[in-house]
Amino acid sequence: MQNINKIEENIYEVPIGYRPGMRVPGRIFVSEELREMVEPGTVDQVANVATLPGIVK
Amino acid sequence: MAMPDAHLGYGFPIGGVAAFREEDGIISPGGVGFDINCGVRLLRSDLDSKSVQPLISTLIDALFSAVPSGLGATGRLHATDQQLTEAFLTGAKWAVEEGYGFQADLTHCEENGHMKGADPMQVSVKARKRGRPQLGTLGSGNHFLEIQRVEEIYDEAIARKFGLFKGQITIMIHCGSRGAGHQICTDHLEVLSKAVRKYNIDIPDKQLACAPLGSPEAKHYFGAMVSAANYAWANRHIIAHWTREVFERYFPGSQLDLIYDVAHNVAKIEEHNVNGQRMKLYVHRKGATRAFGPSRSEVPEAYRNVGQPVLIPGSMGTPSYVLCGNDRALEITFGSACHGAGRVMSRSQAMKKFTGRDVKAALSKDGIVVRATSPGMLAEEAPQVYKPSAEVVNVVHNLGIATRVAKLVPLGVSKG
Repeated sequence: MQNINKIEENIYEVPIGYRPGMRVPGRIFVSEELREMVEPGTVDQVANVATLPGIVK
Repeated sequence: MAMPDAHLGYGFPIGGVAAFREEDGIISPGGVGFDINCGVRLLRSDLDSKSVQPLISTLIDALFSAVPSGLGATGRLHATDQQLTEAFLTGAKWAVEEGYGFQADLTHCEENGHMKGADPMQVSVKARKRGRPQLGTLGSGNHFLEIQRVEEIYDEAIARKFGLFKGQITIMIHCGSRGAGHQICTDHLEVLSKAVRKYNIDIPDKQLACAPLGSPEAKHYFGAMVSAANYAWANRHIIAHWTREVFERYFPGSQLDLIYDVAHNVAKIEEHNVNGQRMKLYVHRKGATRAFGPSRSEVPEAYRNVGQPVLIPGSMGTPSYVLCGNDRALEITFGSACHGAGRVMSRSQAMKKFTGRDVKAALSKDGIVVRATSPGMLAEEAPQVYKPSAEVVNVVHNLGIATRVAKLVPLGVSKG
């Protein structure tokens, strides 16, 4: 998982700007141990969903 | 947002939660998944493992023949077209009317086992054709029917509320809406792909096909999706009934009570606080479990002062967990938690790496009896292809989304 920020223990943020058109930041709830198992494609999907109209988070 | 078990899915990650405002949001089949209302049901027995253990092989064989399983499995039910429509409309409530399970079971199902808003008119002939013979079947993939033992209690007070004790036998049923749900998703994806152009929605991935809430396309998908969700609740209700019959045969007078039944793949209209304002949202949960705490009226009365049971199935041969939803989940995840372990290896990779025979032998070494329709299935579902479920559950517990209550270990598994 690259270009994402740890904001507190077990919570990472996919910032607006990770990809164009994101309306809200994405969130990934994961520990240090499981972080390595998250595929880059999954982070991209979280960012993609954040571009959809009317998303709250 | 993504849960600790998240992995790549169709458009949306599996283990994903996304909420959209009613007034300017969308609904998307990719946010629900193909197996609409894939879910888990947990039954508690009044039996302890000592009395059941010697009969495990016999019980698994009996369950394997009582509950049809496998990819294209067709049921013992032979539902008529009219019955299928009823199942779409009222789910588990219909099943109870047909003599499967009890009225009291319904309050221990999310949505009371029948979600409002079903519109069977939006279900295609093809989806009906696939769904009708499969009502009352387990299916394949990661779906299972498992006899488990309560291995560990983490929270005594909540466990007592849920009726769980150490050494107790529990039964877990993990399955969904079979071919009907899959076909409904496929059909409406096609419609919603066109809607994206019609309503000029800019999507970065065509798998995110969606329609604006309030549009006919969105309403039609919602009505069809709810029909599939109800079908799945009816399905799990019927399977639970046949499971009870098997237990009655070997342990006359034994009691299998429904603790709870949760959906893992569904979109629902829920009210949530957003920046201090009460808002109606379409919450998509795909590979995620609702985890409402005590403050929500949707939590059944029996659990109102602790929170709803959150059921996390293990993969074949690995432990499952019971958690309890907390109000903290409403603040950070729209009242949602993880749904399982999450794959780390594709089915095809697993088939290259493992053989069904080795997997069965390894499980048997751990004292776990497995019956499956094909050895290939066992290879695809080898315990090693999943993330460590204990760690996934720890993250949810540590975040305060849901509290760990009990750990259940498999004694016998019937697979698709």
